[in-house]
Amino acid sequence: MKDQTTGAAHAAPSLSHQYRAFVFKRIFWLCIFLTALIVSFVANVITGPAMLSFVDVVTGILDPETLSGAMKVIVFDVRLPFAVLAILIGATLGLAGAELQTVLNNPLASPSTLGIMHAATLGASVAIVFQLDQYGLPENYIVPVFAFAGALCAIFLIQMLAGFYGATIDTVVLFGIALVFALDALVSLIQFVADTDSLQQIVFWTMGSLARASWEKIAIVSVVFLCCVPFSIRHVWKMTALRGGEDYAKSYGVSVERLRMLVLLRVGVLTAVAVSFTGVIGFVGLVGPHIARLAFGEDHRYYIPGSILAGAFILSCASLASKSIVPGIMIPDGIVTALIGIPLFLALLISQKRRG
Amino acid sequence: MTKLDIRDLVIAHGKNTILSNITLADFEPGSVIGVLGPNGVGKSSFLRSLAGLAPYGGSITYDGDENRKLSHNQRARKVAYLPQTLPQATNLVAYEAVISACRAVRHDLTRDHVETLTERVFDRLNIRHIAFQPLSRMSGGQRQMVGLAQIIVREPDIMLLDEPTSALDLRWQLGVLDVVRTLVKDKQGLALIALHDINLAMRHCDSLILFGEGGVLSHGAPRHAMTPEMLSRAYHVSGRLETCSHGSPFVIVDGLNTIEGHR
Repeated sequence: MKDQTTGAAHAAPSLSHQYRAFVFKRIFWLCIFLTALIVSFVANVITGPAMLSFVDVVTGILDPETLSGAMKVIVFDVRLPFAVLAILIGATLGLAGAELQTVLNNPLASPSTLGIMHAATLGASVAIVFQLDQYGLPENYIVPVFAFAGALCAIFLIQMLAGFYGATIDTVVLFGIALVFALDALVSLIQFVADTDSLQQIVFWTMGSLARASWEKIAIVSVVFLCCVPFSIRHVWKMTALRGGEDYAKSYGVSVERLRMLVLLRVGVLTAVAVSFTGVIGFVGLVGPHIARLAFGEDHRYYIPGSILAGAFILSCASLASKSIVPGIMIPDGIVTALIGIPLFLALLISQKRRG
Repeated sequence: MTKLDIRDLVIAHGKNTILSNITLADFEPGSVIGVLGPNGVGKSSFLRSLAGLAPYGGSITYDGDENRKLSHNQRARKVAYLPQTLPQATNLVAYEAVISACRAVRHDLTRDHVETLTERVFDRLNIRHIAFQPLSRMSGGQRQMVGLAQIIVREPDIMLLDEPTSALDLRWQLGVLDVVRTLVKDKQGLALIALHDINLAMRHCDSLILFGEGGVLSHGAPRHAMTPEMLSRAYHVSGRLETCSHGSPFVIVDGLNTIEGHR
């Protein structure tokens, strides 16, 4: 076969040379995404009811002494944590969604597919309805701690069942769906017995909000995120190989079921820590990876950072919109991401269809 | 060169035994072996067992090491398996698909070495023109070529190819089998290829394994393995073995089997 094209092969530039140009394009797009994220972050920090100019905010961040006491609180305790947490949670959900879509070989998979978000909701509902903050636990953390515990129970259950019946895609997805329905029923039951105040709190929690952002929460989410990223980097080749098909990956020596268990554990922890502090924020983990796939393809060396940046950008923009749509009122971020996410998702699907 | 030894192999789907008492050893280094038989006889299951992807009874050893005791990575360094299914239509471009297949197995290679191997494979298979095309926009035949490139780039001692030409036209079928043959000869390795086209197998394989009736019906040089009697027993058709003007054997099928005893 080679003989027929020897002349052409010599005339053409080497594939590795062409690949360098191809990679350069992907890195260029990563830089574009990063720039867009930085712009949205700055816009997020300078936007709010207190009329602070861009120069005031930037000067204040660089030299806090230039700000008055109240302004310092607004910038450092309200706006910065809010903007940073939006990026972190978006990045976390983007990473979780990207990895989940690969290991489940399903572009519709998202961190809510496995029931982890629903389990977190159940945990939060228990803490709210049974008023567990009365028992000496810190008030700000009792709901996140119970939400996290609920999510961890879901992860443990999925891992246990997948370990027992085999971590095939069908097994994991079916367990996830069963878990979603069961947990939904339990949350409904708790809502049924809850008093009006508790019911209101549960409903607000399920809407997802970054309003309670703080530096402690940012530190916790950052630590978990930074602990998970090296494992994602370690698995990039195996995950890329898996995109060719499960049998192909197995024939390359990838222990697919083991890889799937590890990734599910990682995705579970990332989702658990994200939703426990913010409540349910959907669509970021679904749409972020879709955008990354269109821009960077599915080589996970670019797809994973792309999904992280896309997820962070979406939630950063959503959080900006949440406080800008109705001046003086902060619409829960879960609602805004869904409202932005649905049309964006449909537009992506239609554009993919057109591209064939 | 990795030595393959198969003893008393039994392959079953649940309680249904599909192949049993298979003993095949002393494969000639540098040979291409055609795996033939009717639909559902167990050709794919046989190759999957050799690839460590399906359970089996009996023994399969590579250089004396039992297959089921090898780790995925140890096996992948010696044996490469091309599944019957085509690579998924993903957004990976062909070049990425091939380097990821190599990097997932060959952790010891440098980036430059992987790129050199990849370039060589694209040249060998004459698929440079699709190197930066996403798999999602390729035809079935092009995806099959990429799947084959993913196998060849790893330079395995043993290639297990499950119908590698099923989506290819005549020119590419011949080209692929020529490339596989050259690689196997150069490396003194082994290729086991499941095929449906008997004459393609007769022409390109050094020996044939013909499955039927729950086991191996015949094993040997094409002219000796594919006799009219074996054709009748395996496929339930009557046919003749002829020799073309170039001296190559080929099979002419006359029609469905009329020998009642073989139905």
